Amino acid sequence: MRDATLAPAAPVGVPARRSPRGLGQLCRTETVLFLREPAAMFFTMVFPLVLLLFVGVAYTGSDDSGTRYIDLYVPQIVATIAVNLGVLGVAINIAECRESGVLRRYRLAPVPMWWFWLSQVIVGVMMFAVSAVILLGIVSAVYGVRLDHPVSFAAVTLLGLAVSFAIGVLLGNLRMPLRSIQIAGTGVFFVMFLGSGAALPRDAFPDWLRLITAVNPMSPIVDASTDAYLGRSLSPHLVVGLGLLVVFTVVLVEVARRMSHRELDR
Amino acid sequence: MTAVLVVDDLRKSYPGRTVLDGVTLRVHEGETIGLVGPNGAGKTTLLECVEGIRRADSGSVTIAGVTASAASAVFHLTFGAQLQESSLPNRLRVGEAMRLFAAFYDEPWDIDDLLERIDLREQRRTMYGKLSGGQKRRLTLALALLGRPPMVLLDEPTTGLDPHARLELWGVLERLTSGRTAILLATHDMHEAQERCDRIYVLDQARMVADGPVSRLLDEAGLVTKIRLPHRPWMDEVLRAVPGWTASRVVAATHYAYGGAAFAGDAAAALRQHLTARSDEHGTPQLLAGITTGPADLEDLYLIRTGRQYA
Repeated sequence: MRDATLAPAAPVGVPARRSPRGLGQLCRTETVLFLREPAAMFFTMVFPLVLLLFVGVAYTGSDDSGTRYIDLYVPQIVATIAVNLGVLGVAINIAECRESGVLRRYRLAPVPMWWFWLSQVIVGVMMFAVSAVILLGIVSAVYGVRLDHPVSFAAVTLLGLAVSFAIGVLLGNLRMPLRSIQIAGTGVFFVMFLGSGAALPRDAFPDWLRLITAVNPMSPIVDASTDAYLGRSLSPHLVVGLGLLVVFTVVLVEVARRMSHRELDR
Repeated sequence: MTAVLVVDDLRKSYPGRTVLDGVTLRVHEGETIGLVGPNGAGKTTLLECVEGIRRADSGSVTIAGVTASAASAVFHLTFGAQLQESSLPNRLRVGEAMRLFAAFYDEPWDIDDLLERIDLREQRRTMYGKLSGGQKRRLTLALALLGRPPMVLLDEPTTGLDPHARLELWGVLERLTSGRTAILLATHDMHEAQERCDRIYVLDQARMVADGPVSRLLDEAGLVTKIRLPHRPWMDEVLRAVPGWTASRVVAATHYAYGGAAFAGDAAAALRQHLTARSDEHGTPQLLAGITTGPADLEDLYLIRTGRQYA
């Protein structure tokens, strides 16, 4: 039993107040943790540059319409960064936090749980922006950046990031072991990467494969961001595709939110 | 005394299995309360329902006047908890973890002072994954106490720790809590519970089967004295003739006989007399040499009340 005379005074009945500084500190901590994760750093910062190196060396010419191959590939590499961050990075981070008990520790903190999710989004957007700026900087120095409609390009790539994050959050909340989430995430990544035109142009696919890959959530992102990068106007069917993607993202986030909430009913 | 934690008629069940069946408990200001029970009795579920990280089917939980149904972030200001299964990111440094969790409060404990008190000042830049088991427990305990909560919930905080680390953890807890802080401790360590706790709740098969100070519980159950002797099939019959005998349990051919105050005095002598008669009859004089007598403790109460025996 405790000896009260040895113990320092701690108030009883009047708990400390919650501080709003916590969200900023949470973002700082998540940023530091991201920077210390070698795999996350490689796939976000290095992998896009490796892709650029291969594309830049292999495709130096232009297509029949006179568009440089490098200008076709830059938006696709940017889309790849988004898929990497969301489908692999977010899913694995959430699954790891859930399995190791880190999420439970955050649940006990005197802050709303959405602070944790928001910090993930803020750090993800920040890392995406840094990676994209580095990529565009190098492209600009070596080849020259085209980027004819920067606002549209930014909006479409951010939508791509949102879709990837939503898929990542959903995957991360599946009641499966971390290893299974890693395998599932890698599978989804390659389907989205290869089947969206980010690796190979979908125009080169046979009709049946082009039809199937049209429902790949990243297909309209890759098509629309390429159009925005090259200064083409978006076709109506692409605008509809992007609209449906917004709805799809909202639905995924809601499903993930409910799955996360169900954790309480275990 | 003011009740800091009030749990009323808490119920939780899963398909085909009731985990908590109308559990009620109180923890008052300055009390350290032990929660004991066999594996699967519902201790962790009870703590998690109290902490708000598991939803109860019905019942109510109030800590320091704030009900669990309030906004969870506000409710979580009322207590600090050390979970059985929780962790921190392996690449997070000790100092960073302290700064992160301190930022959640307006007036947290001073980090340098707290690191000093938990003896982790030297490890300030060490990553969580590199800490020893005892250091991890001390750190997570300190994080639970950063906001100086009126209530502390501990789920098997010393399990797996060596005796040194165990003592250090209790030392930290004593240094970081005042005589007014209420503590609810779920544990499998009966000696720790008996030594540290003012009162005990025994949870078994989803219900509270006993609660009160250990000495009173032992007295009420007639478990004051324990006599240990080699078991024979006729032992119960002999013991029933000994004044004050209340209960027995048999583990691996050893018979543990318990009795109340009346059993304490001449019971051993009376038992020897009875056994001498039976021993002569059955030719087992070595029985007498195997008798030892001592006080019963919480572990005995636990084993009798929960119907479990040592493996």
